[in-house]
This record gives sequence, structure tokens and C-alpha cells, in this order.
Amino acid sequence: MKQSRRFRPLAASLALIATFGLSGCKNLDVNSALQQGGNLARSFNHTVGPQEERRMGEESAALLLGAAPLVKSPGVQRYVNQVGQWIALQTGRSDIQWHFGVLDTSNVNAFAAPAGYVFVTRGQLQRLQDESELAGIIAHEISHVLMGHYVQTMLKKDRVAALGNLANTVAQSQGKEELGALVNLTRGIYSAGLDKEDEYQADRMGVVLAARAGYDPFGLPRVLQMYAANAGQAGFDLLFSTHPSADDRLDKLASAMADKFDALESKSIKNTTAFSRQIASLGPTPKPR
Amino acid sequence: MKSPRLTLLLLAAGLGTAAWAENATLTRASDLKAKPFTDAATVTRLQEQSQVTIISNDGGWTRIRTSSGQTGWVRLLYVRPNRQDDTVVGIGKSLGTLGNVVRTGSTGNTVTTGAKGISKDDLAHAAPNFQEVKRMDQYKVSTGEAERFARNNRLKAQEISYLDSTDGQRN
Repeated sequence: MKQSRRFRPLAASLALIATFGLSGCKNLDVNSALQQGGNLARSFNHTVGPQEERRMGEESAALLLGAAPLVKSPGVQRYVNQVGQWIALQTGRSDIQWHFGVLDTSNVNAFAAPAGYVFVTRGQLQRLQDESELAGIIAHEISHVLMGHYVQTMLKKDRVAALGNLANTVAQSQGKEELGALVNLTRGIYSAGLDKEDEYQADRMGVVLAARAGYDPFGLPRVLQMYAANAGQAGFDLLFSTHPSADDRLDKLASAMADKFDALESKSIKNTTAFSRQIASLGPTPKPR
Repeated sequence: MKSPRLTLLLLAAGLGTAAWAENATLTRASDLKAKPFTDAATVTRLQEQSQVTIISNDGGWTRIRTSSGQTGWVRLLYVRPNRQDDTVVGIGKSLGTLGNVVRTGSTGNTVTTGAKGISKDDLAHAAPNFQEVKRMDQYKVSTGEAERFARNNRLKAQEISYLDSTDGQRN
């Protein structure tokens, strides 16, 4: 792993102190705490409160934006926020500050980060046929945020003890921009992906949230069908290496959805003129780089 | 490892471009419908694992052509596109081979052309960009604006339950 090279001295020593300091009890409590559905931080008497989660979200978003900046089109960014905010209104979580962004890369992918950050890549947008497909993707990512999948994964990772300390560090570090250990933890998670079950859950919830927002619930399944058709293609590498196969995701969705959404089809919205205008402004579908 | 220039050449030639795989397999026995409606006339009954060609999608329906040349609609959830290299022959074979050139042998990572992207390598080398995070604030949309957007596009909120008892329940 190339992460260690990027460690800042302060963060590295923090991580070392945390690892050695807590290694004695690492195996003891961690697994049982997670099995009980408890939050690891709580088990160490650290709480990942809204403030810490926001900090985790900012660090994660900064990393993704460091790899690929925002597409320089206020129209596209604003449009994706309109779609995203409307779907977010169907979650019942008015306490989350949602931010949606389009990353300037031809790679096909979408990401979420703690505390309400959702990203879709330009390459992904350019391969969509209509707004209900975009809604399905955004709703999938919103579901990761709602369920705290990234926060939970950070807590589960090997450097779990370091993060236990980081919860405190984060709380005491206002003003400091970058927390090296947290950023490196985030690098690992975006490179390795979430648990398969987290993805299946986000698919199930994503379909429901898009449908609640009035969209054709089959937008996300159509995107997954497109992924299946592109298995092994360049530009999809990270997406495929960090998610269960599109076939498996479709199988799971098919059994979860059954015929429950069939009646919604006639009264749901597939596309808007805004989608067609904004996607056209991005230019033609890119060649994979 | 091939040079980025060769990769660019191949890409410029349109090789290795992701394309819609038209060949697909039915994952369950299905009625082929004349129209994309449950109560439309049934053209024929198709077996599980039938090989079909995708023509288009419409909502939860996929328009297909059967191996015997009949066309009609089946439920999208039971249509799985075949991987291109599984089904395409002739020129497809050479396409597949050239496609591999785009990948480096040792890591399987896509060769980059200097553009920014999000691959594992990009993530490993990215420096956090907090300015760009702050820039996201200016595109933030209020509840009122989101509701206006929905009204203008005839999007109506529906009451629909989650599909699994564990969904929506954060620890």
C-alpha cells in the first residue's frame, strides 16, 4: 500500500501511539461491540457525533476532490443539487446538510462521504439515458450516508484503534485542515470499497427513495444493466473492483423488488428537459482514458 | 507496459470503447409481451437462459429479439447483458485483445494519459483539496428550490416503504 508514504509525521505518531496504546484490548472488545450492533467509538467511550462526522465528511470529500475536481459548470452542479436535494427531502433526515457534486473525470463512478456529501463522475453522467437513472444513482449514494456505511467502515478497519483516538483528535483539532491518518484511512476505503451487504442495502433503499421522489423506480436497475454490459471495460475499473458484480446486484434487486413497483410505472417520471440540456452541455460520451 | 501514446492511438481509433452489449440471457422463464404492459398480449413463452438481443429499454421493460426472430417486451430485471468477450466473435475477438493492451500487465490498472481521474493510483497520490469542498457550498440548493424544481417537472412525492426491515434503521 502506498498510503504509508503519505503519512504526515504528526498523524503517523498519533496512529502509532493509538495502535500500541490500545493493542492490548483491540481483539477483546472490537468484534463483540460490532456484533452487538453498537458503534465502536461508543464502546471506547468516544462518540462520533455530528461534528466529528462532518469532519470525516470534509476530509473524505477533500480527498475525492483532490483526485478529480468539480466540473467547471455551475449549471450542471446546480442541476445535480436540485435532483439530489429533492430526493434527500424524501429521507426524513432534515438534520443532514447535503452537498452534491460532479467530479471532472471520464471514469464511471459515484461516491458518498459522511455527513451528506454525494459525488457522481462526469463519465457516469454522460452514460445515462434519463433523469430517473441519475436519481437511482444519487439515491443509492444518499442511502450510504443515511446508514452511516462509511463511518461504520472507518470504525471497522484495522486501524480502528487509531480512529478511536481520532474521534478525540478530530474534536480537538478545529482550525487544522488536514488529519493525515484520517485521510489515509479514507484513501483505503475508497480504494477497497464497502461491504457487499452495504451495497445491496443501498441498492434496495435507492430504488425506494427514487420512487418516493416520483421517479421511475427502474432507473437504478437500468444503470446496473448498463454496468453489466460494460464489465471489464476501461473507465469502469474502480467501480467494478469496489462493488459486487452488476449481475449479483440485479439478482438481489430482482428478488427484493419483485412486482412491488410495477404499478408505479405509469405515474412516475423518467426524464426532464433539464436533464437532456445539462447532459448535452457536457459533450459526447467520453472514450475511456 | 505499453506507452501512453499507443493507448491514446488505440483510443483515438475508437478501440476499447465501452459499447452496449446487445446479447443477453433471460434469468427466468418469461412471457414475451407485444407491448410493455403486464396485460398486453403474449407473443410467446421464453425459457429461462434463453439467448436474446436487447433492442431498447423502457422503464421496467426491455424490448428484445429472440433467436427465432420474434420481438417483444420482457421485464428488465430478468434480462442480463452478456459480457462482450463472451459472445462477440471475429472482429470482437481482436477488439478484446486490443482492449487488454489498454491495461498494464502487472497491476491491471488502466494506463493513464495524464488527465485526472479516480483510480486506485489517483486516490493514492491525491492531495486533499479543501478549497474545492468549500466551492460546493455555492451550488447548494434550498428545500424551497428543490420543491420548485419538482413541481416544474411534475415530480410528486409518494409514500413507499423500504423493502427490508433493516433498511433505513441506522445503529
